[in-house]
Parts: sequence; structure tokens; C-alpha cells
Amino acid sequence: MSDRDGGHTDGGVAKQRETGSRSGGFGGLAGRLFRTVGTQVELFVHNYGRYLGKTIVGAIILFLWAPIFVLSFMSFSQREVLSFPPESLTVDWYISFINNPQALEALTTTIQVAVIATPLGIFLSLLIAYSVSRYDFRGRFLLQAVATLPLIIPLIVVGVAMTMFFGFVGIQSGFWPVVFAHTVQIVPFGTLIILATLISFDTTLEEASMDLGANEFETFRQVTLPAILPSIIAATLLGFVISFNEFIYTYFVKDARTNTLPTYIWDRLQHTATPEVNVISVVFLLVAIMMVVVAVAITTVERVAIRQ
Amino acid sequence: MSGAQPTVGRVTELVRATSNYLRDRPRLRLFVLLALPVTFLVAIFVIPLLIMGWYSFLSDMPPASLTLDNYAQALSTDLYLGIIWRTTVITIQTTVIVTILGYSMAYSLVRFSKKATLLLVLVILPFWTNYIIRMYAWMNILQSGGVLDTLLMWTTITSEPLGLLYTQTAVLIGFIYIWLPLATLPFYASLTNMDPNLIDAAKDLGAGPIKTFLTVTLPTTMNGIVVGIILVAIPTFGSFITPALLGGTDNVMIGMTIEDQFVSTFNWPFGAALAVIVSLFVVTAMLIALLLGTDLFKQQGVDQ
Amino acid sequence: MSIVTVENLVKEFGELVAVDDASFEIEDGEFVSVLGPSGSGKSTILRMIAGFEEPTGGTIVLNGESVVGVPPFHRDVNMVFQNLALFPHLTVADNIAYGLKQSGVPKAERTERIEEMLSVVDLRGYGDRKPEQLSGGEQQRVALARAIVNEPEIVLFDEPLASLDRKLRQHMQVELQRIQAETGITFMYVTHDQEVAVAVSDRMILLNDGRIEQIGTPEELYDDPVSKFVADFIGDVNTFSGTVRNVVDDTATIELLGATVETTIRASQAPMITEGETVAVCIRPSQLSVANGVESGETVEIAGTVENRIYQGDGVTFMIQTDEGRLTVEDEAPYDIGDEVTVTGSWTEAYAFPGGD
Repeated sequence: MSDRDGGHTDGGVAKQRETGSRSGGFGGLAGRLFRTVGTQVELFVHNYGRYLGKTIVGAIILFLWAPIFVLSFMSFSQREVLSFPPESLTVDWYISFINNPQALEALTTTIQVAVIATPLGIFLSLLIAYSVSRYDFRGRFLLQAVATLPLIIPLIVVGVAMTMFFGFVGIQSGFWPVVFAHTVQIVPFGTLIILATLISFDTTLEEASMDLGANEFETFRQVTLPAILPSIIAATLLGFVISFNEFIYTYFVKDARTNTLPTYIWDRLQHTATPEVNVISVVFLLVAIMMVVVAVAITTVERVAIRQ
Repeated sequence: MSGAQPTVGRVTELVRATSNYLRDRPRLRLFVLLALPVTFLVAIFVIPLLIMGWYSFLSDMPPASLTLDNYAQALSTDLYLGIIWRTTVITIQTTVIVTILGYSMAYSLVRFSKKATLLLVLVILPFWTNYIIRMYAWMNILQSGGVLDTLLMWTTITSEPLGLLYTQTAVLIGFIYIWLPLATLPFYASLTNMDPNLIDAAKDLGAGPIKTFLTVTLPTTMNGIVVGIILVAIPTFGSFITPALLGGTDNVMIGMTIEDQFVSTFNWPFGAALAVIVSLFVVTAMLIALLLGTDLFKQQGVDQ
Repeated sequence: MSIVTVENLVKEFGELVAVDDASFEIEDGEFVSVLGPSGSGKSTILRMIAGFEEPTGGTIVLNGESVVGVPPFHRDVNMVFQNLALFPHLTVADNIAYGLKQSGVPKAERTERIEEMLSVVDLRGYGDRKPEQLSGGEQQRVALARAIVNEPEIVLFDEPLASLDRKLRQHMQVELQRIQAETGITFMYVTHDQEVAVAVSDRMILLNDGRIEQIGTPEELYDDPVSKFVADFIGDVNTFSGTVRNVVDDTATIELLGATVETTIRASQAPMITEGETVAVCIRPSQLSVANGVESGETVEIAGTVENRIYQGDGVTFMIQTDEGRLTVEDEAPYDIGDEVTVTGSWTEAYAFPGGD
């Protein structure tokens, strides 16, 4: 193929190469065979890799959604025993869920906890992220590390540590420990998300604002806050989802009377599962979809607002 | 309205005065900002961990004497060593499978898909539903005579029900299902950040798609891979929900043993010691992964 | 012997026709540039020759063999990318070695060729560095070395110099010509910058909207443009609208600004330039001159005011505001901003193209 060595300063070296380059690497028949097979495989992937990749994506999305469809479908199943496909369809389990005071109370508690823990967690995250990004002080990295640590230490470890703590200091387990535990779990996510935007945010805008005579509060309210608001909203949504689904911390710090929806299902699964659990799973799915819709709606509104 | 005006003015004045006062006192300013979050984290997170550490050296529920027996028991008993070993094996299996599947999917989304964002939302959405609910769904699918068996027997692939529930395979499927969406995110991010011209450049220089992948794509996205691995390995190692629901009594993992000490056996000091061991395991594994990741990244140039 | 032969090449992206029936040949050892405004399809042609895009129609023959359907990794073609695409995780030496490794060149020979290549691109001793440790100009050299070390049939350049500052770019242009002469490898250089194209190439292929407008040496394109687009793209022109009065051989008498002038027309366009047709008359700034307001006796005189003068070293470029719009004139006349002047031209040197202004 290539015998273009004429222009080279050292033609002799170039000539020598041609012989060397084709026989190099693997010697003999086995090597040539290996190369031919390798080339064929490469060509196959070049031609069909795209379809292979798309098939994998399709298969994985099917794998991820099949269980959710199974549950949704089974929430309409007639029989009490788990069965698939259901013999006949009914909405009885939705009615029994609505008429079950324990389940409804668990749902109410879940929402109450999330509504308190989320803003609290995000507020603490905001204070930490702002201090870490705007001020240089001793212990800055320690603070950042501690705020991120709940993400790294396994949930069960922190869960049992909290059990021992609340027991040790004599705080009655129940509603407020659950709220505080959820807050601990929200803080690392909130801090990381808000910190990321605070760091990428152009600080000269803040300096300009201060230069124009605004004090720190005014600068924060009028310059910084609007810029990081999207990340605060994102963190809040994520915080709400985390709290709404939280199980392990809750499991260890709750008392017998306090139940969130996840611990309620756990209890049910320890005994006999009824299609009512399927109903609850549909509730969770709807909340998740709602959150995504809210997130999309907010970002769209924001984009429209920015354009105007 | 007229009555509110002076109040607003007074508040603004107060804010300005406070700002000016704090500007000259950086320590006080920091205190005002951080008092609440630091107190909260120390009280609800740091102190509990310290108390746990202290508990792990107690011979019995407090008040009791200090001892190393809990650690000795955990690290010398075949039962517990076996559980730690099984936990490690399942964690590695999960991490490897999730990394391969998640990375393949992220690669395909980034390189081949026109609707990557929509598909990514479809991948993430299941992750936002409840953990226990998702495991419960797999109980339904995997149990003897469940959805999977019905399907397999109906399509005559098998004639007998497999009854995968309460096997190690079931635990593995559960973990893969849980972590696949989460791991896909850092893979996707690192692949999106990669310059696609690098792939063209490698092919232009004579490397086929597989060689290009191994010598260019993989090394340049190593950071994302390490993050994905950490995101999967840590929670898998400490998990107790999945093995409890899908593994049953034959596939106990360390998380279940810890839970047991607090919920039924009530041996808090021993549970605390196990929790400390798990934490050390996880932190060490993470440090190794980070070092290895950056090392791999740096040394790729030596020779392939 | 031609290294690349492109025949009736077409590339469609859905509704969009990026390349429309392009045919050209590139000779062995040539330095050819493909020039055109952005979106004219020049990068698409390059990517089809490299194998990153498959043509919708037509053929590409590389050294006597059709490469349509051949994947990029089996083509004896190497490319210097716009953003260079150096492998960030590999050293300079490993970047250059990459192609050699793929073709199974043994290690000893690889080392030798890398060393030789480093000295060709003037980067001796840089082998162990990472791309991020190099300046922009040095990175350009590595990208070039990585391509030419494989001794391909042709090296394709996708505007790699665009990001450099003017001085460095000019230096690299000279370097490119030197290295091309030294290695004898065929270069194909894509750019939107006519200054670069004119400076480096033996021949130019000028594209407009997916179609080839003209192929030729820089001189041919400058002195003998086939269309108003070419005249306008290669160097500046001032354009006037005129009406054809008479055509004799390659000379047309054209009514222009109330007078008649004689201009040259191309043989290919003679059929379209007939009596009564409206034509665009294009004249280079250097063919116009500035005089003071006194009658010069020329048939066409355009009165105007000097709006700006730009000192160019060997002359002055005047921007003159007239009733016919702003004219660009290159002259050595001693006028200043605000002066009332008249502009005259040597119209026989102008070109007339069909279609008016």
C-alpha cells in the first residue's frame, strides 16, 4: 500500500521500515490468524455495534420498567395471594387502602416528615455551601467532609448509631428523631448540589453588587439567590424524594406507633403481603412521576422567564 | 400600606447595621452562618458515630467495662467471617455487572441515541420509586410460580418452576436492579464530557472500534467509572433490605447481621463493632478505588 | 498520478444537501486547499474522504481503489482535527506512536520513527510530556506528527490553525509547507480563510453551498474568477450593475454609471452575456484609483468622500463613500479622511458576470 518514502531525508531507514512493519508483532501463522479474526470482529462491531448498543438500551429499559408494570397491574388483582396474571380485575384494593386508617396515617406521617425535613435540610445545606464557597476558614475542608460523609458511610451504620445515640441521651424515639434523621440524609445531597453552582457562579457579579453599595444580605438576595435558585429547587425536589422514600434511618429511630409509608410496607411484608401493598407501590410511583413533572415544569417556566 | 412602610425601613436599616457590624468581625459572621448547621451535624451525626465507636468496646450494655471481645468475636468466628466474605463477593459481583451494563448503556445513549435525554429520564425514573417496593416487585417476579416462572413455562423455555426467590441469584438481580440507574449517571456524564473527536482520531489512526474503546474511551472516562463503582459498591456492602427480602436465611449479608443485633438479639456492643468494621471496610475500599482510579488514569501512557 | 479521485460526490443529511455533485482530483504530492464559507460542505467532503461519513452518491477513489464502504480504520488516510484531538492520557511520544502500534510496527522501529518525526516537527525532547503541558503551537506540531508518521497517502487538515493567533498561524503555514516538501506527502487543507488557502496551496477548490465553484491555482482563482462569488471570496471586489451594449469575442461593452466601458468576459459565460442583459461588473480595489475633484478625462468618474484610510505598509486602502455605495480602493494617493475625491478605474481589468448586482 504505502511505499512513499521518496521524500524522506533518510530514504534508507524508510525502506527498511517497510519490511519490518508488516511482519512485526505476532510471528507466524497463529499470529496472522489472530489478526484476521481480530479484524473481522472489529469490522463486525463497526457495522453492527450501533444496533447492539441500542438493543442493550432497550433490554435494560425493559428490565427496569417490567417490575413496575407488574406491580401496577397486580394492584388490580382479585385474589389476596400474589398471583400473575390476575384472574379478574378490581379496584377493591384501592378502596381498602383508602379505608385503612393505619396506611393513611403512615402516608400522612411520611408527608409531614418530608415537609419539615426537606426545607430544614436544604436551609442547613445552603448555609454550609455558602460559607464553604465564600469564606476561607480553618476547618473548611473538615466541614465539607462531615457534610458529605452521610453519603459515604453505609446507611445501616448511621442508622444504628442514631438508635444508640437517642437511647443514650434519653430522647424518646418517634416523630422528631425521624425528622432529624431525614435531615441528616438530605444535607449531603443539598450541600453538593448547591455548592456546585455557588462555585461555578461568577463572583465578580457579587463584587459588582457590593461595589454599587449593596450590603451582604441585599447582595445575596438580589444577585446570588436568583442565580442559585434552580439548584436550590433541584435540591429541594431531590430532598423531598429522599425523605419520602427513606427507610433505613427511619426503621432504626422510629417508635412502634410512628410509621412512614416505607416502614409500614416493611411491616406488611414481614407478615402476609396483600395486593394493598401493590396499591401503595402505585402511590410511590405516582409521587416519583409527579416529582419529575414538577422538575420539568419548573425548569421550563424558568427557561421561559429567562427568555423574557 | 403607610403603616408598613416605616417597619420595612426599620428592617432594612437593621439589616444594613448588622451587615456593617459583621463585616469587620469575620469570626462572628462565620459563627452566625455556621452555628446552626454545625451544631446539628455534630449532634445528630458525629456524636452518634462516636457513641457507636464507644459502644463497640463495651462488654455489655452500659454501664459496662471496656473490652476488645466484640472485634475478636467478629473477626475470628467462622460464621461472621463467612458472612463478611459472602458480602464482599456479592458486592464485587454486583459492582462488576452493574458497571458493564451501565457503561454499555451510557455509551450507547451518548454515541448512538438521538433521544438520549428522554431515555436517560426513563432509566432514572424507576430509581425514584421506593426501594422496598422495587424489591417487593422482584419477590413477585422471582418466587416459585411467580411472574418469571409463569412466563418461562408459558413460552416452554422451562418445564419446572425455577423458584429463584431466596437464592443468591435473586439477591444479585435485586442489587443490579437497584443500582443500575444510579451508576449510569456518572458514566453518562463522563462520556458526554469526552471529546468525540478522540474516537474519530483513534479510528483515523487505524484502531478498530474495540481497540479505540480500550485504548482511548475507557482511559479518558476512568474518573466517571470510579465514581460509578463507588456509588454501587458502598451501599451494596452495607445493604440489608435486599438480602433480607430476596435472599432469605441462606444468603445473610453483614447488614442483616447488624440489624439483627439491634432488632432481635439486642447485643448492641457487638452490633456496633460490626458497624465499625463495615465502615472501615468501606472507607478503605473507597480510598483504594480513588488511588487506583487516578493511578490508572495517569499510567495509561506507559505502554498498552 | 492522482492520489484522490472524487466523482459526482453527493451527501444529504435528510432534506439538507451538504455536498452536491462534487468532482475533483488531487495529484500525488500536491498541497490542495478546500475553501469555502462555513456550511459550504468542505468539512463534509473531508470527513467522507477520511471515512467518518459515507456518501449518499458518487465515488471516492484512493490510490486507484474505491473506498466507499471502507471503515476509517482501514483507510490509508490521516487527519489533523480542528481541535487537534490529541489523546490527553497519552504522552507526546505515545500519541505519535498510536497509529504505528495499530499497524503492528515493532517497538524498536517505532521508537526510531518517533524520534525522527519529533525532529521533523521541531519538538525533539518533548516525547515524555503530556499534551496539556504544551503550548497551542506545539500541540499543532504533535497532531501533525501523529498524522504524517504513518506515511499515509494523504493527510487531511480540518482548519487546525484557526485557533492560533495571526503571527503563530503564519509561522505554522510556513512550517506546513516545509514539512510537506520534506516528506512529499499529499496535503488536503480545509479552511474558510482565503488568506491561509492562498498562502499555502498549490491548488484550491472553492466551494459554495455544497457545489464546487472553481478549481485552480491561487493565481487562477484571483485573476480569472469564474463567478461573482469567486471574485468576491478570493480578494476584495467592488461590484457595479451595468447593461450590456455589445459583445465582441471576449470583450463586452457595458453601459455603466451613465457611460460605457469595455471589460473582459470569460468564454464560458459569453452565451449568457448578450446585448441588453444586466450584468455585475466586479473590479479589484487595486484597479481603482483616487484623484482629486478635478476632471480626469476618464469616461467613468465616481464622486465621493474619503471615509477611512488604512495604512498597509506598501500602500493605502481607502474607504470611499459614494452614491454607488462604499468603495474600497488601493492607491498611494495623499488624501485624508473627509477629502472630496473622484474614483476612476481601469475597467478593462474588471470582470463582468451575468445576473446583475
